[in-house]
Amino acid sequence: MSEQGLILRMENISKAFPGVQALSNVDLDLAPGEVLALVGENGAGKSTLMKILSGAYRKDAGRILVNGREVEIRSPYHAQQMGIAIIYQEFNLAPNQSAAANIFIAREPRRSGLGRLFVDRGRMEREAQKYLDMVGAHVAARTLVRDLPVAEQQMVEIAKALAVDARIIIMDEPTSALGEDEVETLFEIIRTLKERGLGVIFITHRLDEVFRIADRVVVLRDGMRVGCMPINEATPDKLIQLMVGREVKDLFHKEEAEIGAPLLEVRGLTRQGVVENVSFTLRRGEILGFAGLVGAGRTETARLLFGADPKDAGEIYIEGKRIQIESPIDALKAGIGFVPEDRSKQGLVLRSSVLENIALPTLDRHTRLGAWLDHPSLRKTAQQYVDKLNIRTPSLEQKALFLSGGNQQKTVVAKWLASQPRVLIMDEPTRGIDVGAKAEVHALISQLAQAGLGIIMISSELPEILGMSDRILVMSEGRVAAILDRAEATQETIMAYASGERVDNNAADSATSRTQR
Amino acid sequence: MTETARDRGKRRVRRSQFRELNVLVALFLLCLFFYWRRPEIFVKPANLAVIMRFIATFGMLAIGEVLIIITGGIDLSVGSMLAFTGVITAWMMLKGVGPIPPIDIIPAILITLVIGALIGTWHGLFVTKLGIPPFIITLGTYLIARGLAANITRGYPQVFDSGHPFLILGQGDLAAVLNLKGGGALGAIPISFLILLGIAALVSIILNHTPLGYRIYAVGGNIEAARLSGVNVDRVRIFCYATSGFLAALTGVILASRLGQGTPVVGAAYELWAIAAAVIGGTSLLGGEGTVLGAILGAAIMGVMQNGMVVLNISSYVQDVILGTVLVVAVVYDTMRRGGRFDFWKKWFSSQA
Repeated sequence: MSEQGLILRMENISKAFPGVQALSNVDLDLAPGEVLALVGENGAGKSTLMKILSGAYRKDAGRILVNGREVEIRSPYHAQQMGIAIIYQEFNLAPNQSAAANIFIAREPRRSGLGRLFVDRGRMEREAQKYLDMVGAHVAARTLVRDLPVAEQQMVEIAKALAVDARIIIMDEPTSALGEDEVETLFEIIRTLKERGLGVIFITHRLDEVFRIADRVVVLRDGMRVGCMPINEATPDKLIQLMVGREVKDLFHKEEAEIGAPLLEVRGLTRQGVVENVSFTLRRGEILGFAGLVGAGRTETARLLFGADPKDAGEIYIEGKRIQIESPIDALKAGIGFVPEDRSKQGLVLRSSVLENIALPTLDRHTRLGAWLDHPSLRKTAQQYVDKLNIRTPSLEQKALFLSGGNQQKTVVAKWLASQPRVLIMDEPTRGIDVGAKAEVHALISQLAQAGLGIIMISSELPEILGMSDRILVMSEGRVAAILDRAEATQETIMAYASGERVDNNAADSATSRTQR
Repeated sequence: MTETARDRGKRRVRRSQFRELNVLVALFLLCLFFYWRRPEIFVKPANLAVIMRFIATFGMLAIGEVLIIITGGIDLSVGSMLAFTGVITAWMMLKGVGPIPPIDIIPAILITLVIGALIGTWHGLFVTKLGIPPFIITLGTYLIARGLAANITRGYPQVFDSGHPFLILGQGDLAAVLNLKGGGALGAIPISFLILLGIAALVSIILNHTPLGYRIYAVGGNIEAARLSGVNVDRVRIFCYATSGFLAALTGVILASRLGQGTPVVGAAYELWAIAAAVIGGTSLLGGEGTVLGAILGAAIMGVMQNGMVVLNISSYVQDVILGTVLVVAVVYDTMRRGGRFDFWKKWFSSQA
């Protein structure tokens, strides 16, 4: 690659925050038509580097060359003018505006003459439609963004980048909110961008995606570039080793647990239009994986089971006894815990301390005279789970906000373990946490199963589902498409059921009959 | 490593007190300033009693606001609630309701307090069960309560005879209760201020030492996470609205006693003063943060300033300008301290130097 041909070159980029050297002397370059994967654990500096490139942060030292010319990127707007667009994990779209208005935000086409005071809506929508078609989105430009599914919102973001004539598109974990088929669509779009000669920087936690889409991969660790290689020289083990700086022998740390008597039985769980007639049995010590595409109703099923949303029909039995679950309060009493998919919005009170978060479901169990909080007992319990789960926090008083993703996740788990549940539902337990913390969470899930808990694990990562589950419940369009044994499940069979290509009509019955045997 | 749970508990207390330190220092400096300018008037028992009565009124209302603001809401009704509850308590004692003859002081007060709590509960039910924004439902009561108060009295105040035993509540002080002669500064502490201290202690205990208190902060910090943690979020919020209604009624009763009448014109814009006191005391309007001590210190700052400016003969127009400025400065300071934006200014200043 000649220096001339590069659309982007970053040299010796350094950036410090109070108390942390976030980046030291990082190099990165990008050729037209290239897809560069940027990988590394959380806190490795990926986001910081991309924020410097997109103008959100200013670098402390180093040079940035765009198309061979040295530039100083002063603001996100400035970056956009130079043809750099970033698509964040959480989209920057105005939900109450149309796709077209979002694509042309702040650059709306005007009418001519005196009409310049007014937006030319017709032209705006026609142009927007052109860009939407270009990325292959089946979205009408007039649709309000809030009415679009996540995957299509992302396409709107990409169309927006094309509309500003971006030459470099940064995607920060674009697949974390997508199901398997949507990921394929996204990759299709990326390939189109490639053909048009754009450079794409792709940040991800999922290594399999690196191998599916990237031409080259750059690995960051602790703010330093520790590796850079063409994709054909990389292997997953090599990348993981570079990322964590040590060898991870077994990414999915499942230890066999003794599977006991049926613990939880769900029959005919239904919420109109979302979840249809879902039945399954969970046994003591069992990890039941919930696989399926995004929107298949996995999270919704979990929320119905936990009483977070009202159900239209369905019976829930714990140890053979029918229980009524109308609210999370009932679920808590019945011994069900729920680790939701979005830690910061649903799992934690971020501005409260670790102690307060862990104590929240079980405050009533630590009182004297019925009302007076027993602070020492509260602290003792919280400390016990902080130690047990190896939550790295300077003190119990630390606000949850300041913990890393993995430690936040462990805090949510600790909160539920403190309630001593019999059933633990975990929705995407390792989403957005780094490889090391992931392994710890997996080990923890195994331990909990060994201790006799029944675990429902919802995950969009098939290797995780295959690696951790004893049985796999595959959902498709709100229904149970199949319940597979660990031995018979492969990525292909799961995908076949999830995408509706194969249907097992007896899925619900077979689950019941297995219990009776 | 070897510290016991008890030591750690102490550290926690110390840290939470530290949060109000800024406000406390500001209050102390203010007192020093006014003492320096008018030593002969400012520390007179009679003047201190005036300040304490101010703090009692706005501190009580601010405690109610703090509870609601922690949960992410707001209560605009308290000023009108003062007028309404003051009028009905006077009405029950002096005229009686319809065919029912006038009733005794204690039952009249108790009934008024219950009505206050019920109106608060009413707000809470609208907010939680119907999803009506707190701003709107309490704005409704803001109009309704004052309108009812004026309608009941046809606009005229219900005046107590001087010497009516009810007046002790708002006008009496410690010396009167303990039958001391003189009693100096200590004897001049108004009964209403003592009631405030009692309420403050009670609400502080609820916030810091009961499951309910932890839940109030959790609901304010992240209502969805609290709900998914098995917290009965509706009940927690209704409790806060009910308490605010109760405290507004209590303040209304004390104010009626203080003024010797139940009048529909009392308490105009008091809700805004109460909110200002809460905010000066470090309560975040975003929810999840706030303390009783902060609310009282906030009320104290406003009380001392207001009194000090009167003592210094500053025109009442200018007083409002100064109080408004203090509110803005206090909140900007607090926001920057929290958000760490001082770093920005520090850098800016050093780059200028």
